Amino acid sequence: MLRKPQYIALLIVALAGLILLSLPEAAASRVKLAVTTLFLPLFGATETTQAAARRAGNTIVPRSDLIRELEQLRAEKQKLEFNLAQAQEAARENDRLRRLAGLPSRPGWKLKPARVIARDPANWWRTVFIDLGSKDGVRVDLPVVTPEGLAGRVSAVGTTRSQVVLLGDQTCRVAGMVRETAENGIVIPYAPDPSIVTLTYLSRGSAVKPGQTITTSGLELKPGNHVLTSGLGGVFPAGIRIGEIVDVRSDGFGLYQSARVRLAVNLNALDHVWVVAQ
Amino acid sequence: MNRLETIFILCAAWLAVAFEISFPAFRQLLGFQISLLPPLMVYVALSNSLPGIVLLSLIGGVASDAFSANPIGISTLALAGTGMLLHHNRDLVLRDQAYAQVAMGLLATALTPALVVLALMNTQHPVLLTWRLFGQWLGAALAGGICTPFIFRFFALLNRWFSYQALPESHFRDTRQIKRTRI
Repeated sequence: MLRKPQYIALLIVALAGLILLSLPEAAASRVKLAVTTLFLPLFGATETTQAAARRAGNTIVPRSDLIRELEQLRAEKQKLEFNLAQAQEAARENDRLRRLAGLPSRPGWKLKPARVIARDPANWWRTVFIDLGSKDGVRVDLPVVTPEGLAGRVSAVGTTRSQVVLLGDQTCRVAGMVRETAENGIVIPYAPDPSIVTLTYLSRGSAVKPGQTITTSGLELKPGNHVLTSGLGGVFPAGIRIGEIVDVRSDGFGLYQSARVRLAVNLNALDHVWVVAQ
Repeated sequence: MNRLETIFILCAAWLAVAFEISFPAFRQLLGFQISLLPPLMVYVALSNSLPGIVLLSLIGGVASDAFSANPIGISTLALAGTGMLLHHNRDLVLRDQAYAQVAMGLLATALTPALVVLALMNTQHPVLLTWRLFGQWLGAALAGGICTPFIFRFFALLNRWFSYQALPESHFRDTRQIKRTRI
């Protein structure tokens, strides 16, 4: 049996907890972001430590290694300059053809670099905090990418920090497309493995046995096919890489197919990301 | 409750949350994050008073939820529930024994996320219950159990540094003194 002080303590905590739980979503989000300010010294200390470690690392790298790396980067830069010139020419041609066809021109992406400053302490959610907020023009639902592909979308925005929900979380669903077959589907979490998602609601194919591929719309879905964002949901722009198909299976009593997709981005090792401001 | 110890507990709660949000090594290595708030709650519940439990569950729970997709306040209730349970039965626990600390740490680290997940099952976004999550839960509980004796040692060290030590008891008994009187 509980004693009187224990009842009072339990009542205080229960009351505080229930008040917090009953807050409207917007208010709860503001409270959360306000509480994160308590950890500003930690974010500062982490950044300073990382910078110091980088500087210390830079001082001990041998000069010969640096020269070799510089040569490699120069060669890569030249290659990329050629690619850029080609891409710019293709973009100009695309714009010209779009104008001729009477289609609106495709807006370019504005990328904002951000640093991952905190991760979700709970093992069942997949969210991170980045060091960009409304002050930097970040809004809810903006896509977050890395050079490897799509990472997630912004779910809550504070003045200087934002919460990003990552691919594979239940609240992050993406309209995806198989590049090789142009099949459209929806990317949902795959619970047993965090590095894999499921591309589901793909159009129906013939029955499949393990190791076989399924024929849909005259084209085969194969392991290794690339999955990109389709742009249909209105949140993510088309053409961002999501991953590669691992296998395909018939689903929903044969009504549609689902494919397991290995994510292009290692979400456990996210360090720096880019917010796509369209 | 000693005011200094309250400050230490709050600092430890801050550090525990800071560890959880900014130290990804365990997540990368083991596939799950270790939570230090339940082991801290074991220490507070077994060695401290009720205000300590209330403070830790409020501050620690809210800070932890602020960085999580959990609804804010849900961890507060889970931590408080665990703390109250341990505090209510603390006379039955040999709290100075390492094995008891490990057992209580294991219990608290298993119970707190279980309560949170149970509460989340009744929300708009219930948690997907999978074998992977079960494995993470077991792993985190084991890690919490292992961490608990270290937290007890850490606070014992802090108390030794910052608190006045109790004087050794004298063997002098007033009642046993031989009073010499004139015969």
